[in-house]
Amino acid sequence: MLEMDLVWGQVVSNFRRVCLLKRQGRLEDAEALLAGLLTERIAQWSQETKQDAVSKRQSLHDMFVAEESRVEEAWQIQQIILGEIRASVATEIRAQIHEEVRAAVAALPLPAPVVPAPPIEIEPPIALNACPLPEPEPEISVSSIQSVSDVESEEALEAATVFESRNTPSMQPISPSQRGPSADDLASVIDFILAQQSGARFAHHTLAAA
Amino acid sequence: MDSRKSPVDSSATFPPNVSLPAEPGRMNRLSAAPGSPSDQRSDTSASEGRILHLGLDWGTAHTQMIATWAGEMTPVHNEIWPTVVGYAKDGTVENLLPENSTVLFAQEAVRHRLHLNMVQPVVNGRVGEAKVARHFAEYLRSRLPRGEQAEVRAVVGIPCGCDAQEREHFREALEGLVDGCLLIPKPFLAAVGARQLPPPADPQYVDPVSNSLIIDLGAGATDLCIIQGCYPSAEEQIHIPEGGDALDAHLMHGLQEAYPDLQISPLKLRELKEQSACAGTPEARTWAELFIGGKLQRVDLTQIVGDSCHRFLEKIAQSIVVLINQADIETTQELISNIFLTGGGSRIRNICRELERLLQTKGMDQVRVRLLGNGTQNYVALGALKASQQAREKQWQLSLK
Repeated sequence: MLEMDLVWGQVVSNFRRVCLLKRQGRLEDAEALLAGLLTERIAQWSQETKQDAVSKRQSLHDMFVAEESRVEEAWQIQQIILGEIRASVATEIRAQIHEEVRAAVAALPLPAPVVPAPPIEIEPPIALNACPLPEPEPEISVSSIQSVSDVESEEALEAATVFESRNTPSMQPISPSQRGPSADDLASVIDFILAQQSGARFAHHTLAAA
Repeated sequence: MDSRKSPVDSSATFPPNVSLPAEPGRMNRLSAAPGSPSDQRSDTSASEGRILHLGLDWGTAHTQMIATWAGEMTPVHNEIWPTVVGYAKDGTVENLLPENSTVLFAQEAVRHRLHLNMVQPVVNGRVGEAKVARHFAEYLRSRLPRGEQAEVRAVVGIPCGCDAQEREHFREALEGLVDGCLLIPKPFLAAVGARQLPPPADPQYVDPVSNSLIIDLGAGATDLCIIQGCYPSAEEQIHIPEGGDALDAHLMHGLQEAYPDLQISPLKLRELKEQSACAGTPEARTWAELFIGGKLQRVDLTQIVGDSCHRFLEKIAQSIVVLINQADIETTQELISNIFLTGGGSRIRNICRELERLLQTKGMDQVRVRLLGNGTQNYVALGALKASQQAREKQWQLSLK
């Protein structure tokens, strides 16, 4: 009996792995597992269990439905949490950089008050060429640093998004009031619909749970 | 049927040689390539390792499925069936049904309905009983070229506003029968299906995705959506859980009120509706011969049919007003002159003119209602096929075999 439970446990965990691999877009790995180990375990379980054919089929079907739905829900929740983590980490990093810049600016000596200089008669250009002016120091201001930090964090975010989209389908939930991409680009329209459906699915499960 | 010519030239629609079969339920041999797997269903060699794209309009009353092999434009399959499953009644005499079947589908079920319990797999546009839907899906799969190695990818037209559970029911019905599926709202697919690329030189041609209101009048549901160049937001789509079947119900109610002893089957009633449905004031009175109290009587249906159609159109007109009022004011004038009807309900005679009249009474000037495309094709399946051909590898939602 214990051994039977063990085999069934392996069937369940292998099937869950298949679902995960498929969700991650690793179709070949999923197919290999499906055709290999999972099939073997199911055959082993099928031989050893005392259930009749109908019950066996029902047990498998119930497990398939339950596991698929579990993986799907976990996936959706993961996507949402990932989005939130990204947003909150980006905000924290930005705030930290702002703080450091503010501290650095505060530590600088205050510049002397600027007095308008009297009009100077400018020498002919040849004199300037003879004595070149030093390059001016780049001005440091909070706003310029902010824009740099924005760029850096946005780049990091973008890199993270690109990495994710290469590995998984884009499934960030989309507001229902948002219009989709151009009707010319059906592939992007499908992305949009999938994202909408993923948001609706999560909302549906959340409501159901509530 | 509205007799005005649609500006969309049907001869150039995509794929160019797809047309509905003359008789529902029969293979459209004109559109199938010679020697194609649909002609030789047992030929597996041709389909090994290939991808078969499906456009599926799984409607309440009728289902259409068009298929092409990946990278090819010529459909290998184009068929339309009544969406119905018939289960043999208990105690049916042996050999009464073909091959002693216990379940029959589509036309065959309709033909033997006397001995069957007829069940609709799809009710009001949504999957009804899961087991019945699954049986019908298995039937659909059996109609396709039989290549064990062929990967089947289906885009399915669904009503607007299907929730997660309702979509899941569609996926469950197809699970294991297709290798990937995508569910897309029907009116958008209809617009994509009727679109001609490149656009024809005809100055009257209106690209249905540029700035239009598309109305899919199904048997179980009516879907409306505004399309202004891009995929619409949820607010730009309205789902009315009533379609042609509601007309049947209203017609039955009216007839039973007038003739309490009326004896009529739902199928006969539907036939009656299809023959006599007319929006607005008909040119001639509509008569039908019906069994009332066991006697055949000639009955004037004009008033009852007129009332049923008016009630149905009034709901649609109200929904149109809601959608138009939401649209950007800059686009409204063009939008109200580009209202397109599609689906079985668009075959109601005089529907376009009557809808125009109703909208004019609601303050809309220069409104123009037309049939989408040539008005005879169901463009949802065509649009679904186009979407299937253009979907990216990772977008396919997997079902488990």
